[in-house]
Amino acid sequence: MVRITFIEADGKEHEVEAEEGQSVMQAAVNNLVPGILAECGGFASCATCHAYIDEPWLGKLPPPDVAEEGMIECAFHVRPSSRLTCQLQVTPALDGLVARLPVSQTEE
Amino acid sequence: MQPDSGSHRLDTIPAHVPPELVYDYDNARDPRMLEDPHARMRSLILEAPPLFFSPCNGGQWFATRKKLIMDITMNPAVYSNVFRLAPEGQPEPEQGFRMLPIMTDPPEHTAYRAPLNQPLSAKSLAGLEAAIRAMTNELIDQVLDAGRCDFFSDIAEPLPVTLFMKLAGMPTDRLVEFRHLATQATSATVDHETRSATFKQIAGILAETIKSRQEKREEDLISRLLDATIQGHPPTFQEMLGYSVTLFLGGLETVVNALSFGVRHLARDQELQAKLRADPSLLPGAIEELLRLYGIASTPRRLTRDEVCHGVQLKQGDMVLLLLPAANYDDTAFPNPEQFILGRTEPHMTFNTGPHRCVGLNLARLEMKVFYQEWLKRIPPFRLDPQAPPRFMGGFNLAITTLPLLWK
Repeated sequence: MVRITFIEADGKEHEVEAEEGQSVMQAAVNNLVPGILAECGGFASCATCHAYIDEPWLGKLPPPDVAEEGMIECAFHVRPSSRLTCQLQVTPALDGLVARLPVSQTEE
Repeated sequence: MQPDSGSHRLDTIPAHVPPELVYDYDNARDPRMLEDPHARMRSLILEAPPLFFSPCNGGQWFATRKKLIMDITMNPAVYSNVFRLAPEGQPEPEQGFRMLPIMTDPPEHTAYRAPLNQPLSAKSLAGLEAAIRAMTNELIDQVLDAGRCDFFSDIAEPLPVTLFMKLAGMPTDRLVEFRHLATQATSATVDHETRSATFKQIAGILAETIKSRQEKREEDLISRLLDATIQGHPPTFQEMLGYSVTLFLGGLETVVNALSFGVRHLARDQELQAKLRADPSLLPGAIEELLRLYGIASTPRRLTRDEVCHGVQLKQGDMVLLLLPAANYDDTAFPNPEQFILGRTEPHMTFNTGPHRCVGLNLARLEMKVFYQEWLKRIPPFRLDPQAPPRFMGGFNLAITTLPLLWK
C-alpha cells in the first residue's frame, strides 16, 4: 500500500491508501475524495482530475506525454506542478505523495 | 451516425437472451415515446429490466441505468465504439470512412480526440460569449413584437447551428439544407440507401470546405485540425472528413433540441420562469437540471467478446444502445427523478461519461447560459400555444420538430 494525501483548495486533507499499479486518480475516486471528478474515466480527455504535485514526488514522476500536456493546457489555474492524476501510476517511490487540488474542481 | 437502426424486426430472439429480458421498444417508432419522449424514458426505468433486449431496430440491447452505463463506458476494451455504419453485408457509404474520434477506441481514440480538446475547452471558448449574446439578441429582435414564435425554427435552430458552423468553418448560408441533412443522417426511420446517400452528400459538402482550408487557413476548427499532429503525422484527407462529419452531426442535432426541451419546460412552469427572471444567478444550476430532465443523444457500443454484464450474458458482436436520457430518470441516482430540483449534486448523464464524453459540452453550456440570460430578460412570461402542441421525434436523438410559444 502506498499513502497519498489529497488536499482540497480550502485546506481539507484526505489521506488514502493506494494500490500499486492503479492511477492516483483511481485511488482518489475509490475513496470518494471530492475534487477529483475524473469525468472521462482516466483517458486524459477531460482535465477534471487535475492536481498540483508537491516536490519531491513531482520530480520522481515520468514527464507528461503529448495527450496529457495538451489537456493540461485546457485546464484552469495551471501551475508548473500541474499533472492529470489519471496519468500517474502508483509506485512505491510515490509513498507519501501530496496532491493539491485546484479551486476550479471543488467550487463548482 | 450509428449502425443500422432501421425498421428491421427480428423474427426470433437470439438463443442467449432469456425471455424475461425481452422488452419491446422501438427507438424510432414507439408510440409512447413519440407522445412524450422523456416520460417514456421514465417508464422504461419503471417497466423494463435495466439491461433489456428489444427485437426492434435489428435486435439490440438497451441499457437504462446510470451505474450500468458508466461501467460500460469506462470499459472500452469490451464495449467498443468500432463498428460499421452499414448493416452486415452492405458496403459502407465511403470506403474506409470512420467518424473521428467517435468511432475509435483508446488508445487510438486519445490521439484522435486530443486536437479537439483544446479549441473546445472552456478557456478557449470564453472569447465567444459576446458573439453568442449578440446573435441571441438579433434573433429575439425578430420575434419579440409578434408576441409569438415557433421557438424551434425561429430560435433553437438558427442560434446553435449558425454559431457552430462559424466556429467549425462551414458555410452559414446553407443552414436549412445542412439541418435537413443532419436530421436525415441521425434519423432511425430512413432506409439504408437514403442514409448512405445522405452521408455522401454531407461528405461532399465538407470535402469542399476542407479543400479550401488546405489552400488557405482561417480562424476555425477545420483549419486547426489541418495543422494538428496525430500519432506523429498530420491528418489525412480521409481523417479530416471523419472529423468534419462528426462535428457536423454533433453540432447540428444536439443543442437545438436541448434548448427546445428546456424552453418547453419553462413554458409549462410559470413559477420557475419568474424565479429565474428574478435571480439569474440560479441559471447555471437550472440549466444543469434542465439538461438532466431532457437528455438528447443515445450512443451504441459493440461487444468485442462474450461478457457477463451486471448478471446478463452478452455475446461478442452484440450491440448495446446506452439510453443516456433514461439514465437521468434512474431513481437510484436521482431521487424523485421527474421533479425539477435545483441543487442536485449527482452529475447527470446527458453528456455521457468515459472517454467519449461530449467534446462540445463547454460550448453547449456557454450557449445555453447566454441564451437563457437574454431570453428571460427580454421576453415576457411565455407559454405553450394551446392550439399547436409541440411534436416529437425519436431515433438516436430525442428531438422536437415544432414548439409554438405565446407571450401576449
